[in-house]
Amino acid sequence: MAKAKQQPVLSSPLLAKEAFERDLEKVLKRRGNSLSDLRWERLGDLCLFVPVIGRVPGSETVDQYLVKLEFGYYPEWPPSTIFVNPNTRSYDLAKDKCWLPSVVDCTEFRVHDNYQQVGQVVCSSVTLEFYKVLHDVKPEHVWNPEKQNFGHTIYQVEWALNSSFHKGRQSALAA
Amino acid sequence: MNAIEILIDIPGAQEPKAITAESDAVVIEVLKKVAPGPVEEFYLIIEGDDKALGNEERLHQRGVRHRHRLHCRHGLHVEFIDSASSDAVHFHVEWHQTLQQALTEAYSRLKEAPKPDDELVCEKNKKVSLMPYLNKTFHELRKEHICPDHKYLIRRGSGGA
Repeated sequence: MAKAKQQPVLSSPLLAKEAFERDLEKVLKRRGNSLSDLRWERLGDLCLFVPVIGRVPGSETVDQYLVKLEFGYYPEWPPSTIFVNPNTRSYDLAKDKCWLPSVVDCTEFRVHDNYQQVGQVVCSSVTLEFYKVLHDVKPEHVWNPEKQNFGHTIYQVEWALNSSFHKGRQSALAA
Repeated sequence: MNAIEILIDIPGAQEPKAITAESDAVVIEVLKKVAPGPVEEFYLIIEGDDKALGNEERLHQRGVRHRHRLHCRHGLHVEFIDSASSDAVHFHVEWHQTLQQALTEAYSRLKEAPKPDDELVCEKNKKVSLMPYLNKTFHELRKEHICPDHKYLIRRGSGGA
């Protein structure tokens, strides 16, 4: 079970895969769609790519992001969650800041391009990296695998990128 | 597509009404034939099912077949999803009930307690918080076109930033 201020522990690959597949079925059912309808893409046993659209209130601009979820520590800990370059499906700090959303003044969610020099951190208690950096967290927000699954992670990303806190990309896309 | 006969229980009627419709008929067209009042105040549900038929769905999409029995009900059928667990509950409410009453019922059915940072949003349009509308009746919400498909998301907060 996840705990505050404790380094996450890897799950057995079998347990992680079983939990991911169980929850994937539930999450897809709730959204009433298949993987392909949602344009989600599974890669191997423990990785899922999820496109997310971001909108800035009052602007016509639509920002398309790609989130990579990995389930190596699942279900006791939330999925690893990073924004990636959709062309390379990875994140290069030197080149890929334009693929990160800017979420400002939100107490629930923030995207750091290089948090304390350890790399990208989506700062929210529904992501693995939040625990890996030993971030402060209130007891009621600690990941609880009995009441949460990765659907919560995706809902929070979608919410943040469509809220008034979303200000667009962290840097402009190259022409 | 072929014609099918369906039996529909109607409020106030002793016997179900037999309706002939194409199997790909849109639900609202069937509802118009049987609703004993303003069609927007009624919905159809398959006997034994826990989820109402959407007005824009087609009969065959929800597995309605020849001689199936449906119920026409006054009121509306709401769905609440818990964003943390993806659990969902569906149930009937009356037009005069408030969104808060339905939300309280949803927490009870989900066996969950409200948390201070929970937020109710429309599942299809998560941008709009429904918290200012909790004391409105469903009748008022319908007039204001708030979350017209009656599918709600209880967005659970997270720590961060």
